[in-house]
Parts: sequence; C-alpha cells; structure tokens
Amino acid sequence: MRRKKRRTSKETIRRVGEILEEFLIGNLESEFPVGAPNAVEPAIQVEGQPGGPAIEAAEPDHEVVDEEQFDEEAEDESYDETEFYFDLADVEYCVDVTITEIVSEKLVAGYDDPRKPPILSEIFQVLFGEDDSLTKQVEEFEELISGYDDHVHIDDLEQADKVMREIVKEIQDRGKD
Amino acid sequence: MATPQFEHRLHSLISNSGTSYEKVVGVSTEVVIFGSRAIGVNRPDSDLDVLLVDASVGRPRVAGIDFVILRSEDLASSRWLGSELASHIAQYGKWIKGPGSWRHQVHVSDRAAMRKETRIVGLLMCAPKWWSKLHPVFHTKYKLTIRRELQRLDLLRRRIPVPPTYALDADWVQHGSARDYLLEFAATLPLNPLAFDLAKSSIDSPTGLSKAHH
Repeated sequence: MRRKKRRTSKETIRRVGEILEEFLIGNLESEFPVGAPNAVEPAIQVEGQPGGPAIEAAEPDHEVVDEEQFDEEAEDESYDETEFYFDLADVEYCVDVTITEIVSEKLVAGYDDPRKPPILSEIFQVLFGEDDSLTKQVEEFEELISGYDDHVHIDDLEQADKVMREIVKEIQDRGKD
Repeated sequence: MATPQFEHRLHSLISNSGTSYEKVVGVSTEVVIFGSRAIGVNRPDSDLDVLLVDASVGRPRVAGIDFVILRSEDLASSRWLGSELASHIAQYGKWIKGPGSWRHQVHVSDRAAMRKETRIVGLLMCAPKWWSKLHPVFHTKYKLTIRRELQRLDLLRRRIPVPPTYALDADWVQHGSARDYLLEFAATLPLNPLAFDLAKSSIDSPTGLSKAHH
C-alpha cells in the first residue's frame, strides 16, 4: 500500500531525531569504528571482498571452477576479514533497538504484530510519506547495512553512519519551531 | 521452464510501477523467478524474487519484487556456484529467460555452510547484549530467524539446497520430532551457555504457523 506524505507533529519529529541520534548513531559509534574523528582506518585492503550489497557484489571470477575451487577457498581464508568486516547481527540489533524506542514511545502506531516487525524505512513512510527525501535516505541507509554474506564492510558502515547523521540533521531542521 | 503465469505476474508488477518491462527484463540475458512464489508456497503478500543477469539498469525499485542482480561473468565464479542462493535458484528457480547452463555446475560449498554457521553464532552470541532493549516483536523475529537459520545450516552441511522459507516452516510444523534433532545440532556449535539457551528457546518458540495452515 502506498503511503503518501502526511503531517507529523514537530514534537514527534524532534523526538524521532533524538532517538536516532542517541540509539542508532550512538550505538553504531560505540560498537563500530565509525563516526568518531579517530575512527580506525583499515590497514590493508582485502582483495576480492567487495563491500556492496549481497549478490550484486559477488566476486567476479573468470577462471574455470572445478579443480581450483579448493585452492581459491583456501586463499580466501588467508585474509583477515575481521579487519574490515563486522557482524551483521550487531548492526541489525542496533537498528532494532532504535525501532523499539520509537515504537515503545508510541511515536508511530500499529507496530505490534509479531509476524511482521517493522523496519526503519516503513516507519519513515508512516511519519513522512513514501516519496519524502528522508524516507529515500533511510532506504539508502538500509541498503548500506544490508551487508555481504552476513558481514558489513567498514566502508559501508562509515557511509551508513554519514547518511544517518544527515538524516538526523534534516530531522532536527524540520523539528524546529 | 516457467509457466506463463510467472511472466504475466512479473510483467504486471513492473508495468504497474511505471517502469518499462522491456528496460528491466528485455535486456537481461537471464531472468529467473525463485523463492516461495516459484514453488507456490507463498503467502498472498509475498514478494516475487527475481534474478536478473546483465540488467542494464541498476537494481530496479518495483513494489512487490525483490531483484537480485548478477553479471554474466559472476555466474562462473566459484563464490557464486558454491553459494546458498545459487543452489537454491538452481533447484527451485523457474527460468523465464536464458539458458541457465550454470545451474549444472552448482554445488553447496563448505564456504556456504561456514558462512551460515558464522551468521548463527553471530546472532546468538550478540543477542544477550541487546535482548533486554528489544521490543517483544523483535524477540519473536530473532527466535524465528535463529530456528530457520539452524534448519538451513543443517541442510547446507548435508549439501542440500535450502528451500523457500515457508517450505522450511511447513516442514518444521509437520515434523515435530525435528526439535530434538535441531537441539542436538545446535549443541555442536561454538556457543556459550547464554547463547545456547537462546538457541534452545528459539527452537521451542511457536512458529506462527499451524498444521492446518498447510
């Protein structure tokens, strides 16, 4: 169902911004090396580990598979992926804790169906409308944190953090009296 | 091959979104429907999962469709051929367009199973830190996810392509004895007691489906 632009009170907008800043940006910053000026820079680049979304970023490999398969896999394992990739589960929990706050404070209604827990972009659709620039930015944020093979690359996390900061700034502007 | 109803549905969803069907599908070298709709175990509100190979546009945004985009050169890569998704599509996919010759080279790799194990261990080990801060709807969501992922890992370790989620759920409902098996299986994972308790609780959690549903 298409959700059109709707009027949300400035008080609600302000509070959503505060929650995003405290719970989403705050948790991302405390859990991952993003946001802070001294954020950890990867020391080396992992070859053949794209940072994009799951399947789009599947590694191109022009070689014949069969016998070389195990060698390639062994080679893959020799890289220390932990330098660049973070557990998708932690990112998911960060986002869902934030949504929990928004739902618990009843800033949006109707999200207590256990069969269909809300996602952030749906909440933004309700608050701002499907075509609003904020909703589009949240969709971009969700794409960035969707990960690759259940891991999220540091570059995507940094970009996601940046997008979320822009969202919060825009929300703060809209929430001004 | 796909029946015409898949192509019709794809056509109508794309056209209704104001996007050109030719622009999305016409230029792709392979188009495959997969997931729950491909084998008819979908809910009414299930999205249509579609693999596009060599799509000229980026990932199209079409309500009711989840696109997966690949380049033709990716189809020959060991990473793709050994992946959970490739084996799923090879087994359950309905080809609307393209030869699909790669599907005969697909196998479930050790890597796919290891990745799944990492995913499950990550979900379970990270959970205690966040659990008390999550709304109950998310408790339900994560428990459901964990049980399904355990089922998937079990299949991947046995080199069996993973079926669509609703088929996994239906299988779970129909085979009550699987509970003990999955519990023993979870006990083989590198989990601490808290994480294992959550695994156990996830396995014992209601599915949201009834036997009558299927």
